[in-house]
Amino acid sequence: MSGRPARILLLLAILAVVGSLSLGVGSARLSPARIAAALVGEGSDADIVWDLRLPRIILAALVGLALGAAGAAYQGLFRNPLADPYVIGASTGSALGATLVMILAGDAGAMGFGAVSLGAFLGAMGAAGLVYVTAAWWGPAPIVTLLLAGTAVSSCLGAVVWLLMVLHDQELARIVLWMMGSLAGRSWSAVIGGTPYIALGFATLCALARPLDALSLGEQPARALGLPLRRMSGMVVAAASLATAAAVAVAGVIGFVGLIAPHVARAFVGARHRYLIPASGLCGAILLVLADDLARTVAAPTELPVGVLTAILGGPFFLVVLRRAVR
Amino acid sequence: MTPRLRAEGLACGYGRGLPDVLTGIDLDVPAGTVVALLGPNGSGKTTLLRTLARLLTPRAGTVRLEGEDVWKRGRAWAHRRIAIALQDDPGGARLTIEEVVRLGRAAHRGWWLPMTADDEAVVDRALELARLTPMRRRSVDALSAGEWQRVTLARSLAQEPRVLLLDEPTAHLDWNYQIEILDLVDRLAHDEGLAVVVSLHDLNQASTWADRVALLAEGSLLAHGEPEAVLTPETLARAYRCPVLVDRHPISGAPMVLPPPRRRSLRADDDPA
Repeated sequence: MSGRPARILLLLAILAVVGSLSLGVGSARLSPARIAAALVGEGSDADIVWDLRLPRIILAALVGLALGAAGAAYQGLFRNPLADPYVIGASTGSALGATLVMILAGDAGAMGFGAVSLGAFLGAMGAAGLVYVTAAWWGPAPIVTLLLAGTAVSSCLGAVVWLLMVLHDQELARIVLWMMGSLAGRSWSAVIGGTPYIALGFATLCALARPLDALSLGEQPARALGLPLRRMSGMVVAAASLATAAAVAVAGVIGFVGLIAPHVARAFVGARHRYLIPASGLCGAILLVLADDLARTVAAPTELPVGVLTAILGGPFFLVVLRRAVR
Repeated sequence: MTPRLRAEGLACGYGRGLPDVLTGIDLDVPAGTVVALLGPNGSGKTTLLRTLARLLTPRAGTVRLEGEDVWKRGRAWAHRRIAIALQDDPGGARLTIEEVVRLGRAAHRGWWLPMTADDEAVVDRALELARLTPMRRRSVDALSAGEWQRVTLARSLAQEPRVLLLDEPTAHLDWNYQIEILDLVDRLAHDEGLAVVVSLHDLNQASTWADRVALLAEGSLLAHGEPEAVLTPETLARAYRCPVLVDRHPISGAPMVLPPPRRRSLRADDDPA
């Protein structure tokens, strides 16, 4: 038992190391010594490290944390190893909600971070709730059925986003970049804006660990244990959607981190959500920081959108898990 | 004395506009007794168990636990006293056996508070009763159907219920495990004083292990009483719509239900060739 908290601390240490080393990665490579100097405000790299790389890496970790924890929660709630914010349509729902706010508000900058986030949250709740209600209405559906429902909702909402883009082509470039998911050029304001929502979503999911354990047994057993099913599953959907929406609001749609992270975390700490939720968050953070390092360097000097990269890497992983799940 | 669990004029069903599955069910389950619920497929055994467990709202009538209406008392109140083990599968849950059994404590501890040493002791005892202690750290993913049945039973026991409802706990089990489960049910009722309702397919298991038998058919309780009174050829033929023979157990004298002989074997005796 004492092993699992220790393993979570180990993941935290790995995240700290990966994050620190990532400060040196980018168009200008910095040695650990120069990073250390820059962090204490000495040398010519202080601006790069403090204003560009540090907020971006912290944001990558926060977004990864949110997506990893949300993925673990969705996988428990849907009893499906392939659920994740992207697969079940919550991410696309967020994108639609946020896009709608941007377009309706005209100048999104004037409306500020709050309105876009709220739109993203409502979009994620709507999509995840729709898929959950559909799945619950169908009864215990095979794993693939939920995925198809998620795909249907996701394609539908995605198509509406594309439609909005065509109708409002002055916003086209911004929305496209956002649908692909990217951390490029994010500053401290994004970190400060996103942190409260991600923290709230993550903390709520951690608190919902025991209900999630019960839900992962299935609806009937959970109710037989006295779980107020609707209230608890509603809270899970809300908390996971809040985390997803906050991630989408600051970084756009980044797929598959929420799918992969819980699988890695389960190998570390097992399936009990008390350990799985924090461990999945940390694994998601490590994954996304690493993926963003790749995005910055793999085609340098051009930056790739990190969402494109995670999709390229995550697609094959999805197929492997699918093969094992429907075997 | 008030029975531990009492159903009065219960009508149950699913979905608006659909007909009742069961009507007019009156059933008493005293403490320290095993009541076997029998009936053909689709006769409403699981529906009745779910209604007794406060998982399905009755369309009419009440369920009383020690005189109190379980629907008037809250959900939490009921689930601290009534445990139900339905037939299900571990599905995607990758929890370990002990993690699943610990969830039974949520009925008492709630969904937020940490478990106490008392809770752990109850979990240990439940695992021991279901003979799962040596394998408690194993993942429920890799269990046989019989092992999973025992996990579900242990999880119900961790709820420290006063009423235990079991839905076909011997299904998919080998003979030895069936007997082991039924012996455990017997101990829980007669040594620990639980009121147990158990649905069974096997009429002879009901005759051997149950103090009372309730036979569901045609949407109501067709017969209810001691095995000798209910397990008669006439009643069973009416419930199952097929002929049966009833003999006696050579040692206990309990009624034993046998299928009628095959037509072919009768003909072979008659035919001199």
